[in-house]
Amino acid sequence: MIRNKKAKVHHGFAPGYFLMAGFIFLAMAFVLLLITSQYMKAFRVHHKDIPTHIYAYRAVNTCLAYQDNITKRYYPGVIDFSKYNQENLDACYVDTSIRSFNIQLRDLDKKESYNRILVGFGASMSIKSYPVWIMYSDGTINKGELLFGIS
Amino acid sequence: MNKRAELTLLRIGTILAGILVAFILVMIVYKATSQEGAESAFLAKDSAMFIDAILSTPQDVQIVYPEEFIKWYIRLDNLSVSIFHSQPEPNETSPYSYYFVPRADIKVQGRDLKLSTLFFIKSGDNFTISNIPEQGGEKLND
Repeated sequence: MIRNKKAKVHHGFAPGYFLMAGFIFLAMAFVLLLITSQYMKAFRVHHKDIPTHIYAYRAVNTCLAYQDNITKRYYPGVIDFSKYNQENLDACYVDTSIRSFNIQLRDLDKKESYNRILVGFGASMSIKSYPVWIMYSDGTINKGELLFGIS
Repeated sequence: MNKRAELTLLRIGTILAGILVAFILVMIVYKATSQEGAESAFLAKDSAMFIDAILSTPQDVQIVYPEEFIKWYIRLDNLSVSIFHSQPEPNETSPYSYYFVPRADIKVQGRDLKLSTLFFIKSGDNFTISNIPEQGGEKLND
């Protein structure tokens, strides 16, 4: 099995022998990598959507949130429509070398979608929807949603 | 040397090489799965996510991190959190670092701390870490 009688062995070279040895080494490496991967998996305790929620709530609760002029109190979940622009969102997520953001505001009462704003280098694969209220400069408040994705 | 001897030598060499490769693989796995390494990586990532969450919270906030790792050190700088197993030098880097996304309106006051009780403090337009809580109304400075 290891040595083919027809294929003469030159200077001790036995192809079948090396194939079997190589296969055993690969199998050993595979098993060890599998064990390591399973071990490290135990420490990946954070749900994959947590970063998306954290960054989305930064926009919803602070950067885009309506702020009372006198008390300076933020109203989480109430979007000040005048804040929804590229400049504000660029200041909200300063370093985009690792993450980029895809944000779009929709007014569900008017059935209107506003411009999508990209912060960073590219589009996102997974977009999530967050219910919000949109406050306009004339004082009207409409039901809306913020579509948010990160990559 | 005759062919039989050459083949025997080859087999011994292959077995020795196999033992060496197995030893190297086991050492790599041992190092990768060390508890300290895994804990340090987790702590860096968790701390960075904690900071992202605090930067996403309106008004002033002060939170105590629930874990205590008294033997280690933490470094906060403008973009990342790093964990060191010994007192770090100023320019030293750590393999256990994780990035967070800062805000333009909040200044991160970087510092090195020995890890005991760890407070994350956002006050006004400043953010930092400390071993003691900020006392009411006291301005943050280094």
